[in-house]
Amino acid sequence: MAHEFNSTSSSAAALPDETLPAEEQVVVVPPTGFGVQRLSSSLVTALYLGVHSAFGPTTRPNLPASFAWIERVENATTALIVADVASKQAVLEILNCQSPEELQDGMTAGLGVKLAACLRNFGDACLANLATVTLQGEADPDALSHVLRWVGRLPDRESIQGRLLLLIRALEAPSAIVRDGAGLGLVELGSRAAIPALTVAIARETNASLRADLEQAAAHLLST
Amino acid sequence: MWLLEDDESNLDRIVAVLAAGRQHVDKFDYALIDERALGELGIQIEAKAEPCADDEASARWHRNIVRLTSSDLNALVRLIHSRGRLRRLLRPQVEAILTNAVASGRLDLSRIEKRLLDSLALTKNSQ
Repeated sequence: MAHEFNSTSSSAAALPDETLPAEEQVVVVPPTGFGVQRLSSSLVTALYLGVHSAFGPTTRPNLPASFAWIERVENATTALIVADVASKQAVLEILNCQSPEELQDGMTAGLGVKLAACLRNFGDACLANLATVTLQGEADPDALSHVLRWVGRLPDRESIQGRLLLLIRALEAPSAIVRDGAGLGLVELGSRAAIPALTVAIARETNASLRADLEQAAAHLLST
Repeated sequence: MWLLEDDESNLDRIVAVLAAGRQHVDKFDYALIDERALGELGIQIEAKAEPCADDEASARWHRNIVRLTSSDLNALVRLIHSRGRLRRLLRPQVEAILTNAVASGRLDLSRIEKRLLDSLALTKNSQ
């Protein structure tokens, strides 16, 4: 159940913004799932009761307009939900960080930096959310194509298996541009383990131009 | 637009100068069309160098389409679509071309982004 409150200021004196000693922290999740915050329980109580005098000048601009639920930070389920919501938000930010005009070959360094940070912060959750967005066709195909190339390009050895699996799955994306991006990402990754999946994708591909590009990718990996 | 010699001997040099203008190495897609086909459409081209990391290549092979009308543009797009030969160089191939071009001294390094040069140096050191 979502709770609405008005965060406009009142004329009463404001309490300090810092958390009270030994005060419990809670996690506040807005209805959209975006903008998850950790706040002191006293502040959340004040918000819920409409005691606007509790808002300090630095706190007020960052408060959510409403929240879907709150939970104690120690709750393990919340931690997972928070991480998933935050990683989804990070993935969408990556996909929207450059305008369509800026998405040119060799001109997406900023996108690569954001993806590296997302992978560092969220690990498998980042890759899982990327897979969801890719297979459901939820984002701009050009942006996804560039992201998938960076998925292959990143030097992080720990995530190589997860990135390989993501790129292989992306060969089944509904968009030909995204499938092409997956093939390019597999070339970047440089793993011969992708060859069987590429072979299946080539046999399945109805777009002649893309089939030729996937064949080129497979031939390159075979030659490494 | 760049003029490719019949024997394609200048392909690597053209790819290098265009790839050198980017932030990072990536695949390189291009379309080849017959110069005579442009003339048949009445599209006018002129040789004109533009600032880049290989001024000599630009002076020899860079071309501008001039006095392009909207109908010319439509005709050009249809020409590329119907008769253009599409080709792709994968990122490792572009990287090799660029690395060779840097090593040969043909490129003005001051016109190349540092992060691109650094990535080429990293690749060279890891080999």
